[in-house]
Amino acid sequence: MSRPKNGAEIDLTQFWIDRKDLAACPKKYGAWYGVEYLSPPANSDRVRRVFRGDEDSTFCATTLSIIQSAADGSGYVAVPASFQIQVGGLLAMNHGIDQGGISLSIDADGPWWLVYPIVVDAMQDVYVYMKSVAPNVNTQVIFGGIRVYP
Amino acid sequence: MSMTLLQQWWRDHPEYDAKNAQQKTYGLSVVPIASPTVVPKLATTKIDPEADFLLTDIEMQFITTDNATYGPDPGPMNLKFQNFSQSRALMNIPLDAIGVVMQADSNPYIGQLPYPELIKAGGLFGVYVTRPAGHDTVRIYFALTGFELW
Repeated sequence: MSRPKNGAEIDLTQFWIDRKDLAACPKKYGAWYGVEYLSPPANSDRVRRVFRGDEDSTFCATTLSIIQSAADGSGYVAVPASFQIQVGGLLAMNHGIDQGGISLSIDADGPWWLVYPIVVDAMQDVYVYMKSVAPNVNTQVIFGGIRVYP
Repeated sequence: MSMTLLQQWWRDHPEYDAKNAQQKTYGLSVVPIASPTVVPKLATTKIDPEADFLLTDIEMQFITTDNATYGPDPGPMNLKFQNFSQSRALMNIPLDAIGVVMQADSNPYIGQLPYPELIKAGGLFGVYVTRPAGHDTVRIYFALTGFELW
């Protein structure tokens, strides 16, 4: 879901101008893609593939949610962590994992509106690198956006 | 729902007359659901057989099982919305994600869809709910807001 808790809601006007090829496609559907996994041991990295783009469509991600909960399912938690998102081998978002610092305080689940849509082409992989200060936190990384069919 | 998303949808669907679209809300409730509930519980609502429905926002509230008060702690919850009038799932979270699309810790929770979702006249819209351990049994009400299309 896409409640804009953090940051201004994205304005797609410029995006549709930039990507007339996508804007012209009448078949668009909302979608979420994501992954769930346990956080790595303290101060170590873990990489997971969030999702692979569909064979037949382009995904334009507009929001990102990071939801943390205790591994036993007992409740939500708020554990500082750092994230880096890569799309097709290119860095799409860097929340400081390379600095070794804590750049994102997960006291809100998001979703956060991205500053500009991340375009995931067909069969392209999206990865997340995560560094957490606490182990065994169940973490879900979920992109919301628009699937565009040619 | 972002105006630019709506505008894009109207552009993509000239067969519908935006000027005659009327706001409408469908209600949907899930019977008291205990925690844990591992096998997904499905609740559905049927759309008016004479008018398509363009879904833009979903609000959810948690109510005690005796319907006395709002706001029992629902804890972590997994929700998967499905538009049964389309051939594909509305929320597609493939791979090993378990399908959380919102963190249900606010009450009510108002969520925008990533993109408007057309539910055909007479179609079914539903939500699958699962919950891990350790929280109050709750009844969940969903309000599905959007536009009735004639």
